[in-house]
Amino acid sequence: MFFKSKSCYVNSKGQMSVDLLIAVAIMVLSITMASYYVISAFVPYSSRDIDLQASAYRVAMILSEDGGLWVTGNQLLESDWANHVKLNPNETRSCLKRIGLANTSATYLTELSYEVRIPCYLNETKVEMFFNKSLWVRVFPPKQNYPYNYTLDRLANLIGLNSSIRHYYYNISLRYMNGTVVYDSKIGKLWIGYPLYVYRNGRKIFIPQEFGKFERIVVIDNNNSIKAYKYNPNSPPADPSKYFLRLVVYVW
Amino acid sequence: MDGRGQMYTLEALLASLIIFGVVIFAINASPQFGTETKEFTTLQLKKYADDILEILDLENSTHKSLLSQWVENGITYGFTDTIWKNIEQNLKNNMSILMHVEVLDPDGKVVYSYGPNPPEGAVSSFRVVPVSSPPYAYEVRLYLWYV
Repeated sequence: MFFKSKSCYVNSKGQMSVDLLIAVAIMVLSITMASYYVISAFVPYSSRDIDLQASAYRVAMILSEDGGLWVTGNQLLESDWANHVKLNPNETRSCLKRIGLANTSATYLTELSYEVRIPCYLNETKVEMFFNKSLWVRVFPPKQNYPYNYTLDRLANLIGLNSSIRHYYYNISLRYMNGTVVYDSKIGKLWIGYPLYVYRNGRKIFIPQEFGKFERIVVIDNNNSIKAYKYNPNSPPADPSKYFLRLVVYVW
Repeated sequence: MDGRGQMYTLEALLASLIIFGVVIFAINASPQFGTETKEFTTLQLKKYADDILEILDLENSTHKSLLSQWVENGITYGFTDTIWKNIEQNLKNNMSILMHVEVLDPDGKVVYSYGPNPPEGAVSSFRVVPVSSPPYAYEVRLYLWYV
């Protein structure tokens, strides 16, 4: 009915010619094959979530396995950044090169390295410093006319998110195993970065559309103000799982 | 089919099969963007297992760890389940992860195992634990998989 010509395609009974059918099948097949080969060629460049996953993995790894890096002078590198960072913002800006939360033991191994990192065994002071938002605002005060959050961008550079090529948003938190964010009596909930949720008309909406997420299981060495069990390897607990916490990293 | 190339039931069946085949081919031929995501899911499980063993193997001042002491006691007095039972409950309740753990002696023989048998695709991590008496190294292998 909708084609005028009698010779092809559809007649008044709604019947189709086999030629049309074969033609459509060949066309669909060709388009599919063409798009498959064309899109495959761009896969390494097109999927941003692969990079986000890798970035989240890197940040989680640096924070849980590394003790951080504080450069005190030429060739002198230390990981006790948390003991310096509060004192002088100017010194922090020039000396703090990387943030890591892991403990280190002062054991002389080689001439080059005299600190042994203890992965997944977090230092309470480092944790408190890292999640202290007001401290980072003092160290990296917000800049006017900066398109993003300057403080958080500078902090990102210290945890392995280099925003010089691509701007990253991130949310890092220390959580109990059930997912609740750990509470610290000095600084409140232990999370830093951009918020994950926004409230609209009373509804909680998850902000990242496309994101990378990675988690590590960690324990903490002290609980002076952090509301969690402190893990002491010298008196190991009967139920170590009670001491487990989750370091959760979102990048988008 | 009549003289104008128009089709009836048999041809319609054939046509639907062709279209169906094309659609199936199209779905299978599309680039697999999910592969890397799957790799990261596996990596996440692997890191959970690594971290748990790492924490249990934290050294104390006498260079022993909870894990090494558990293995030494297990060899001498028999292995206990308490540690793994608690970890299993914690992972299952909070993260929907199931686990299986086994201890292999220096000959590779399984001397202890706990938890349901790991399915194909379960991720494993291991820790070599030296014990002082007898002076051997045992392997503690932890398998994790999502419920």
